[in-house]
Amino acid sequence: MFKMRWWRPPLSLAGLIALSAWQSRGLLGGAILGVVAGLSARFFATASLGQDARVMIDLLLAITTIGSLAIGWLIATNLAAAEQERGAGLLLASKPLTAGQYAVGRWLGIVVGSALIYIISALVGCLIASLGQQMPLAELSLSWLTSGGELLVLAALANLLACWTTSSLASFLTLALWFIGHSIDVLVMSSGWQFLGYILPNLNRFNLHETYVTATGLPGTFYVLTGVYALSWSVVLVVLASAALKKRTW
Amino acid sequence: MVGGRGLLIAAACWALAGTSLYATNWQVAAARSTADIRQIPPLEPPSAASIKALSLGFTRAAADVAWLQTIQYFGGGNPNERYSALTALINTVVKLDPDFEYPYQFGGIILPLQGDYEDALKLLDAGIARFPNNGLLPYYAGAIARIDLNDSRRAAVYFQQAARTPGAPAAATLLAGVSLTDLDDRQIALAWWNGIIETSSDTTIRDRAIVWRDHLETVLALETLIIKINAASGLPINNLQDLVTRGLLPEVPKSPLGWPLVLNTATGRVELLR
Repeated sequence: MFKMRWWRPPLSLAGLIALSAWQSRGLLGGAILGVVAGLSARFFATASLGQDARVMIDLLLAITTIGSLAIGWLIATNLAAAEQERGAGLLLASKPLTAGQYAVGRWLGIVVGSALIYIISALVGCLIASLGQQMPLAELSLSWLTSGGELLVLAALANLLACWTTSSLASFLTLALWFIGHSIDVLVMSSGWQFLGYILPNLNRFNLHETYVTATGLPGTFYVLTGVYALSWSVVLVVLASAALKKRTW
Repeated sequence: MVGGRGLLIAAACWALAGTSLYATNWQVAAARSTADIRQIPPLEPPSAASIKALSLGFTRAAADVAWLQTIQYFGGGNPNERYSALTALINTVVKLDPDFEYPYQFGGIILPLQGDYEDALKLLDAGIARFPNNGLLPYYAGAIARIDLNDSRRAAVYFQQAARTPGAPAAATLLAGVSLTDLDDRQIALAWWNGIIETSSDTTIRDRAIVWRDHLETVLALETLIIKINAASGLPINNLQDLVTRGLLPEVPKSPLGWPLVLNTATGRVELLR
């Protein structure tokens, strides 16, 4: 008899959500987002302290990261929420999922959907912003990937928040926590409460300005460790989501 | 998954996250202490044509935004000590809204300070063509030509234009004369000074013009005398003191401007020793 592997249902769910991102014209949304980000970066990049390219890169990738996550997240959670509203949904009814499988599948779906949009928007945005400019693309790509780690954490955070509230409100809360997460350094790292910076999700590690501009000559392990940081927090948040889902009445 | 094993995995990942954050913080601090901040070439703003196309008809509003960008860029300070995108930004503003007068003046004052003399003159030329009654624009252009480029001919043209325009600083009249005085054609300069003396109602300018006219007449008289002596004798005059030594003058005349006069033997011209 065919034995269902643990990871197959989550992957199916993730694929369904990613497919939904495609069917919802999410990639077109990503491309439009990229155009807006690229043009904004080009136009507003000249405004600050003469550090034009730095501001441009910060602005461009920040917009594409949060924008693509927002689009991907809305698409993914709408699908997931619709399934919940139908009473555990077709997926759960046809093949019962464990809370862990559901949490992992939804997180992966958000990540895949958002990543597709992020890739499209970042490519279009970078292309528009870098036309005729001199930018070291290899290092720019590394910074871009570093920012992609942030996407993993935010997707996991949104996934967790959606266990208690609606998908739209979870999106807004994620956005709010995104700002707070970037302020961790300012809030606690410079005070006597530095340990909080290490035990809370510190999104400032994905700060593109820092990785691309001010800290030249970073070793390759920096990017590996940043990836480890993103994955570790993602696992923590997915486990918490799993625990929350387990306690929920379906 | 969420049982004891799940919590164990979560705790391990939490610890791993804190450790990796600590390690990356250390790496960034180390990189900052050894590496300079990256110098990235400043960006040029988008072309005025593309902004015009994207503005959907709100071209002047786009010009206003571009102007805000310009003054923010300039006001923000510059770690590289040069606002290399400033010329392009100002040109974008005036291309989007050529009737916006102030950017011409702003560029005419600021751009020369960072050595962009020709860019400033091009901008001012465009402004002069658009606003022929603004005497400040040719006045600034004249100052750039005279002070920065040391081009008296160009300066004279600009200053003369400014002097004919109402609202230009009164000094434009004098500066046009000074620039003309430095040119080879000193008869034009003499005519310019005499014109001011005859027509100016401002006694300060008139008195100053008289001093410059007298200076120019002194210089012309000396140069004419030296040419005559050099042509008549085989022994050329090498300096103005020679005129006294040979008994042609009781003493070396001084310029009414207050500076001593010297003979430039290479050009044969009598000049101020400034």
